Amino acid sequence: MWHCLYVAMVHRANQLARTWKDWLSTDGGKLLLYARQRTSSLQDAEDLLQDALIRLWGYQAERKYRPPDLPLAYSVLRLCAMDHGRKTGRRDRKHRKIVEFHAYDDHWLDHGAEEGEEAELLRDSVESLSEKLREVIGMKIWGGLTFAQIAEVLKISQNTAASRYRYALEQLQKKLFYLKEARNG
Amino acid sequence: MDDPLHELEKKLERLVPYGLSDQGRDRLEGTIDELAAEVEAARSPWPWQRLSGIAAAIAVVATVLVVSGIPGPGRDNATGREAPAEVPVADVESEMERLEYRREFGDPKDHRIVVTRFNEPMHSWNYKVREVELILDPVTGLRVELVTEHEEEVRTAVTSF
Repeated sequence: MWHCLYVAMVHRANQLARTWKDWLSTDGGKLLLYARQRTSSLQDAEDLLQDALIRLWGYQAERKYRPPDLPLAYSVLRLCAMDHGRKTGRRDRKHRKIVEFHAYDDHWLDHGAEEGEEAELLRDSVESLSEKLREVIGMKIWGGLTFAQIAEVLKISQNTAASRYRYALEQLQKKLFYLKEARNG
Repeated sequence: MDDPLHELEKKLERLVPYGLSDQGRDRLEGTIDELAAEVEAARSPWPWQRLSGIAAAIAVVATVLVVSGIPGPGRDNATGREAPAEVPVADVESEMERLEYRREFGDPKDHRIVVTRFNEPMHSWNYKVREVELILDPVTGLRVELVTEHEEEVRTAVTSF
């Protein structure tokens, strides 16, 4: 009887873990992109995601440990990023300079289906946007959030979210233009 | 939205975020497994501690049965005769007695600063290490000195340039 109880318990734990691992497969990449934008390395981003996962687990206790929806996950990740930023402070800025000098090919985005120089320029342009604009672009384009959801995560109005998004696209367009001009001479 | 901006959106959508590293994924999945196990343990009417204790008790009883010779896998239960014991393979190393062991370090050399993609800069030195082991063969009384040499690398964090 004890054996049956034990087996049932292990089975339920595995089922629960499976739902969260499936969630990680689906949404992990989107969340990691946001974490990369807020940290200076892949390792720090994964640490951030780990912290957020543990917090999210605690929040979802009230919802029978269902995996969280994406806006909540972004919100918690953002909170963890702010805590992380406060802790690392100046040391992180110095560290980032070194990493940027030696790891110039450390990108957050892959060309994917897009090939050629323009894709590379576009990627560089996204990565050089200011944090506020990068956040909105990341959540809208790759996170698939609506402006209402983005507004909820960032604690801004829906209009502000939409304006920032449009402004970010305009900035990207300009950057792309200037980078192309610079490369072509 | 304007057509040029719409075109730009399409191009952006074709860029793909990099996924988790293998280590990162393993770590996160390991955390999920632990958290799920804790949830089930908390829900169970039987505390994990009791179950662990019961499992340990069962293991102890099984060990006692085997050691005391009460009918078990090593005994032919039909005839009551003891099954022939397997002849253990001689464990050569356990018969040797270690008299002395020491490690000798050479001077540090090849100092460099290592900068990798995802980690902070580190000072790195190589040392030559010589391990000397003196063992005694109890059968012949011979003492044998075993010497091995290898290089080790030591790293420490860079705190200032």
